Amino acid sequence: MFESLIQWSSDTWLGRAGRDVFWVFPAGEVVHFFGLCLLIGAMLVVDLRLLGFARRRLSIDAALAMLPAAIVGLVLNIGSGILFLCAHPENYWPSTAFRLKLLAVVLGGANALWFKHRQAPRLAGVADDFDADSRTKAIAALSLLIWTIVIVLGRFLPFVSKSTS
Amino acid sequence: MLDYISQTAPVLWVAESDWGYPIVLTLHSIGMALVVGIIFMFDLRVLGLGSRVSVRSFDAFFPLAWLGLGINAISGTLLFLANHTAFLHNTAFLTKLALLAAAAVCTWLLARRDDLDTEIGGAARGLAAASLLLLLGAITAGRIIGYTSVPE
Repeated sequence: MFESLIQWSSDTWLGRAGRDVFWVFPAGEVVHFFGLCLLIGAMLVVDLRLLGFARRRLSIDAALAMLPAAIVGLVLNIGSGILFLCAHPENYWPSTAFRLKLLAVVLGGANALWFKHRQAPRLAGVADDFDADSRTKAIAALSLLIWTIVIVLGRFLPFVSKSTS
Repeated sequence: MLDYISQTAPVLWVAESDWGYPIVLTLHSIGMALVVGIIFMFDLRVLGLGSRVSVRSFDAFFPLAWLGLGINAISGTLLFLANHTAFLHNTAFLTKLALLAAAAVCTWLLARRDDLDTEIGGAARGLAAASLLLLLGAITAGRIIGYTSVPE
């Protein structure tokens, strides 16, 4: 089932560059770590504030102003992730850790969209030190949990991947 | 001395067990996300992102950055001891330490300024940019270590 997908992605110019130009793959890894720090840094500020952390100093509205960093981080990581995938698809598609990571990223994204469309509008115009409702706190806690799982799965991926290459 | 410490149980666990190395490497990534993530947000705020955020509100997040630094000092020491003969001669590793020290100085100089909530000037922006770029350099050097000093 995965063979044609693996073949196609590894034949793309991105896949060739990732394998044949020695610095492209490591450069992608640096971008991936940079994006990770941007994404997690912004999610820490936003999610911890939603959980009630620093609420006397920071309004929810102000904390949400850090979100562009998370979006830039996510875009960098999807881009560099596609590079890894095209360069060595055989290391990723068959790997359970990779599939779970992909699932976790989708869940993290869905959780963030749920927050943006269902919870954020209700938080507009609340007091600066507003203590969010329990549903918002659950979403924030879930967000931190999911992104932590994404880091753990990503870091374990090369060690549990079945392929030897 | 290093040879003696590198024979202690936690170091042997990292160097020789199946899961010690990936577990400590994962802790190193989580610690990085905490300390570099928070400092990046602080640097970006000083550089102009999210002007509604009071710069001093980051004081509330700095303990978390310290926690990340602590996790990485411990996990980093274990990773170093597990393969110390290679690391001591690894240019990327020594470069990473120097970049981290420089980043720490810049971040400390920036965080201790008392004018950040009144007017952010060129000096503060310079320190924030230096902190961000030095940390990015440390991440880059850290990645190169992975290519130049594989255990065993």
